[in-house]
Amino acid sequence: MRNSIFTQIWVPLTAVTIAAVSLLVVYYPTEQRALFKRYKTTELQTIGRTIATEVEHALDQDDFTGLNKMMASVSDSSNIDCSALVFNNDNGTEELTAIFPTEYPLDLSRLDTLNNIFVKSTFTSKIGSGYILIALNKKTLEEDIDRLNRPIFLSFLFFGSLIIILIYALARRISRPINSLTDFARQLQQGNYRLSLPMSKTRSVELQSLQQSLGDLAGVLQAQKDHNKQLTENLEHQVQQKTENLQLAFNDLNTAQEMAHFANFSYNTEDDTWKGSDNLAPLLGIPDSIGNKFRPLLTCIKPADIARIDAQMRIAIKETQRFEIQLQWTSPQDGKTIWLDCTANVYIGANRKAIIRGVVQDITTKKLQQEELFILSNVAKRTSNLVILTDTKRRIQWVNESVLKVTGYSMEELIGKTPKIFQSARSDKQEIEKINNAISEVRPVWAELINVGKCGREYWISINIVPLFNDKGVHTGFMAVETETTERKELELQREQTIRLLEESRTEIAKINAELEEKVEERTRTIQNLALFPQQNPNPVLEFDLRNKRISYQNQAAIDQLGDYLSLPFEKILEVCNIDRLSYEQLRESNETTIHDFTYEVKLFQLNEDNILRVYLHDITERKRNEGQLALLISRLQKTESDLKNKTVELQASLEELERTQSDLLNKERLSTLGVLIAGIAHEINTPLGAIKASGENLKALFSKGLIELIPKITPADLETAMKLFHAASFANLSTIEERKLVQELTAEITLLGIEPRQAQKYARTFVQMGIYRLAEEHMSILANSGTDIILQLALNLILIFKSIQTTTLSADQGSKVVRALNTFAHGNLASASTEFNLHENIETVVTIFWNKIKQGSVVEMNIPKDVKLVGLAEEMTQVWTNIVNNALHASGNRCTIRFDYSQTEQHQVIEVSNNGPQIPPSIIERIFDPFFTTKARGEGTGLGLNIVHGIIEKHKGSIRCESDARLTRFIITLPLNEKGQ
Amino acid sequence: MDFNRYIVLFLFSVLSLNADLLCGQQLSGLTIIGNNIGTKTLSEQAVIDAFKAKNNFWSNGKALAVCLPETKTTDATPVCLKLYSKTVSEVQKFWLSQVFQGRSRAPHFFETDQEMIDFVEKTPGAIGAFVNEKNIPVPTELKLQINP
Amino acid sequence: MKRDNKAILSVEDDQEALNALRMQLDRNFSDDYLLEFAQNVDEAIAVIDDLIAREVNVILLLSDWFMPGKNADVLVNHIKSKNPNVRVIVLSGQLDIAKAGQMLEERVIDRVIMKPWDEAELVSQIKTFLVEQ
Repeated sequence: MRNSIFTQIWVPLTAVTIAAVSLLVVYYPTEQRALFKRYKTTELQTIGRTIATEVEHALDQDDFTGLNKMMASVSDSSNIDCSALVFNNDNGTEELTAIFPTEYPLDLSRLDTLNNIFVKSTFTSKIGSGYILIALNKKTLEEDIDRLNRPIFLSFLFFGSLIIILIYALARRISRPINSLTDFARQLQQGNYRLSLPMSKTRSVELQSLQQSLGDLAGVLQAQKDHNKQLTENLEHQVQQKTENLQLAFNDLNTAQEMAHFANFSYNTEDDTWKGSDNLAPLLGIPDSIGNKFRPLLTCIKPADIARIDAQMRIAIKETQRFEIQLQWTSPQDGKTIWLDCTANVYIGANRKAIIRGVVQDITTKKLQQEELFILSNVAKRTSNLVILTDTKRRIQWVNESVLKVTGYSMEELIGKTPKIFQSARSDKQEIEKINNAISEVRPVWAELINVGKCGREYWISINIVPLFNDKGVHTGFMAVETETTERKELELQREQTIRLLEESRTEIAKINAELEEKVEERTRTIQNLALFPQQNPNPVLEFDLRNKRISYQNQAAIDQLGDYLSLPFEKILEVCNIDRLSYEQLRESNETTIHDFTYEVKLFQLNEDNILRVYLHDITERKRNEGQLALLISRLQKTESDLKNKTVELQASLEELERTQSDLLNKERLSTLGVLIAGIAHEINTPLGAIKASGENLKALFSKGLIELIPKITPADLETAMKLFHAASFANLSTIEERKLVQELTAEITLLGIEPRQAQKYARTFVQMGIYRLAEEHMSILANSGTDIILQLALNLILIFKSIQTTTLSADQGSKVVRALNTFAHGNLASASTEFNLHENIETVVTIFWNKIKQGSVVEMNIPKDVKLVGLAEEMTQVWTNIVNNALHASGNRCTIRFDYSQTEQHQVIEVSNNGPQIPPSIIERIFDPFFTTKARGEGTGLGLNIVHGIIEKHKGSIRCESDARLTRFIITLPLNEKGQ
Repeated sequence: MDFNRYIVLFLFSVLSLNADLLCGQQLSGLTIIGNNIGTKTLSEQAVIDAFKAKNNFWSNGKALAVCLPETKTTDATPVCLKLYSKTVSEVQKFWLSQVFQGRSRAPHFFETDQEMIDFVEKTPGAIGAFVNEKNIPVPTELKLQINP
Repeated sequence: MKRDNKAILSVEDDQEALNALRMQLDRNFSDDYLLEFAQNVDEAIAVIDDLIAREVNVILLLSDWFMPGKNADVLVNHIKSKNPNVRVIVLSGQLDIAKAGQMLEERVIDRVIMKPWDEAELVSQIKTFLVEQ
């Protein structure tokens, strides 16, 4: 209340009034008394004079009537307390001749001591001179004065009170609108913007304008509040969405972490305690009951590993460096053994004891995969089969050792060439055509043809070519598994030859058979004849007398051919002829036997009643030999075929393994990219969040301390000035360098006005923050104003409020952009349908993800119109930009300018991504889209990045080419214009 | 001889005090006139009292009006001496004091005896004293008998 | 009392975060200390050298870690060579935990506050460090 306007007006004025009245009341009587006294004295003097004159007249003219009348009137008027007539005696004394009223205590010698006003009027007459003394009692006088004054005082008091009441009313009148405006402002502070302004009929221009301004402010604040509310709702909604997305993303991250089997741990060497992240215990299968000491867990590690770990740890502690170790771990819970990769840092704590903090990852799968991969790659490398991997254009990307061995080329000579170099003039054109057809139709093919090695050595190969696809079904190349079949081929040729020969033989044989049959017929006849005349039979014919156990007959041929066998005992001869009891009892048609390296068919002819067995020995040596050879060939063929089958099965398995490995590599590539980017993204999200939160706190402080406290303190005129400043302000963002320079210049300008430098700088800062960089007239007058500080403070606070709101909005947008980009990126491997999407946004997504890396030294120029749309798979296209940008950043060490350009023809949309990084050498530019081709060090890159890009573009039925010179490297992507014609 | 002085003084004062008793002689030579003053005869003392305005009204209720010769006349001195035993100046002072104090009305002064007579004649309650040297006829109704 | 020869330097590359942070610092410290701002490490180093030429001592550094151009470790080295007693607060959105822990242990930096930050916590930490000076 002390400082209210009402009090400020009323109190001083009332005080002044009271002071005036008091002064008057005090001063007036005194003045009045003096005046009155003077007046009275004058009056008395007049009376005295008159009386004296009358006395003189009476004495001189003997006429006392005048004096009589005079005295009568004097006594009537009762103005005088006493009138005395005093004569001056000759001796100098005074004689009181007459006094009226008679009893008045008048002592002439002591006039001064009496409480009277005296007036002496001298007279002279013939009888003497003297004076008339008129006395007026002061008390009477004062009583008179008081009596006179009383009404005056009362009227003073009355009018004084009236004035005070008027002042009060005036003050009230002045302050009421201000009070109501203050209330209104307070309402504003409490957030109640919808209150309508109490439009008091104030006549003051300033107050009206203040009303107006406050009304406007209320309107603005209401609008802002609504806007804010909406913003807040949007923000909340967005934040909620973002939070949900973030939550999802973080869940994904957590899942990723879990899926990647990571966990943190910390181990204190001093007290053997350990602790870690939530998923550490489950990862290692440690039950909760174990507690926090590590010793009990040592049983989970193999003793050999313990020793190794101990040694490495000692070194790491001694050198305070990082160590990495792989070990096997037996889970206490289920006894399973897993592989762990442990990476840790050593920290020396306060008491010089080491604390080991690190990360543990379950690499069992990886290890197994590694082993498998190792085995498989060994298989692929070492298999005696030739394995050649090519790209879609059949350019060789990799060959195994067997290829080098067999063909005699070196790896470098082969990489990049097509298998045509293996073809010779003698290669079967049909087979080549078969292969080419299958290649162009991208289907598997099996062929067999002649290849030629480096030195011209020719050899037969059996080729199995299969096309390779990545997990998205994009064709990435071919794999040829070849087996040198020279031997086999030759064998086959031989076989064929043999078969041909056989066929010929067969025909021959058939012919011969026919002839033979004839001849047999003949012979049979002959034999039948000869049976009677066995002698002529060129084949041995024997007759065995079974009863007598002797050979009863042998023909000449038998003698010739069997020779001394015939001298063997009977049983022996039977045995030699492979004739056993069964044979001759059942007269089995034929057996075989070998005598003297000749093979005979033993035909048992007849057994007559004399138990004579006639035996014909038919020489089938030749036939046997042929059959034997044939059988050999057939068995060899079969073996080779079964070998081939096995090998094919093996290779099929290898092929499947390779395909799996390939897709694993692709996943690994994406996960590794993701992992690298996540750290950057956390930063990109947290910074806008920080800005939003800080803006919230700023807004709170600005409203409470900045506005509500200031408004009552400011005069209406100053408030108007502040509002003008606010309305004229610009909200542009300056860089700190620019701002520093502008503040310096403006400080100098202000100092010239005579303001002290420190204060001038303070003003300069405020002005610059309000967007004022040079002083105009109105600014100078503000600086000269007494209310400078409060004007500037109020205007600045209003501006800062707006800026804070701006910050909130922009940061929310920024954060949502990042989350959206992350979302897009993380879900990149989900197949989705073709959609129409905005190209600029698609590229922006990638730029946002990479922003953390980019901003460390690179620049991105986007020359893409904002309305261009593509039809396709949006997530996959982001992969395209990601891989190209990643390559550019890596190649240039994060210091390059990357530019995106767009152009459109009738039928195509062309997007060009160019960067000013190092040139891609012409020698390898052909190969950059090949799978597994990378210029990075081993382990740094999978070599699949651009291959994937190529695959995606092809999937979109477009094409990509790369041109690179020393200045600029350009990737030109051409996509067909979609059917909508956009 | 002091004793004698005192006796003389005493006698003088007694005589003075009783001056009025002797005023039969005191006022001799004076002509006293009066109009409607309630009586025709007055003692000397009464006259002196009247001229000293001891009472402002006569017994008949008429207001006293004292008439005297003007100071510049020859009558003044004897009148004052005889009536008041004072000098003319003293009588002036006396009357000044009287009027001043409002004890009595102003006396009337006349230049000539005739004027006084004329005034007394037309003023009831008036009383006058003069020395009638010229022996102006005085109306009888105005004449007053003065007893010592 | 305005301590003209003592300055607080804040480095932040994101424009919006810088605006919000700046308002908070102005509100709490502009009466007593000189406040300077920069948006990258090179600019910050230039500001520090300029202040030293004017005999102003930077007693507190508040900085993000990963920024365009160089990272803040270059800046920390530079400022410690000029004033070994300077207090360093890192205000970051992303951090390698192991590396941060190591730097705190070695007293290369004095405090790490993650974004989004709490104004009260930041202000009280700054005040604690200022009192120690």
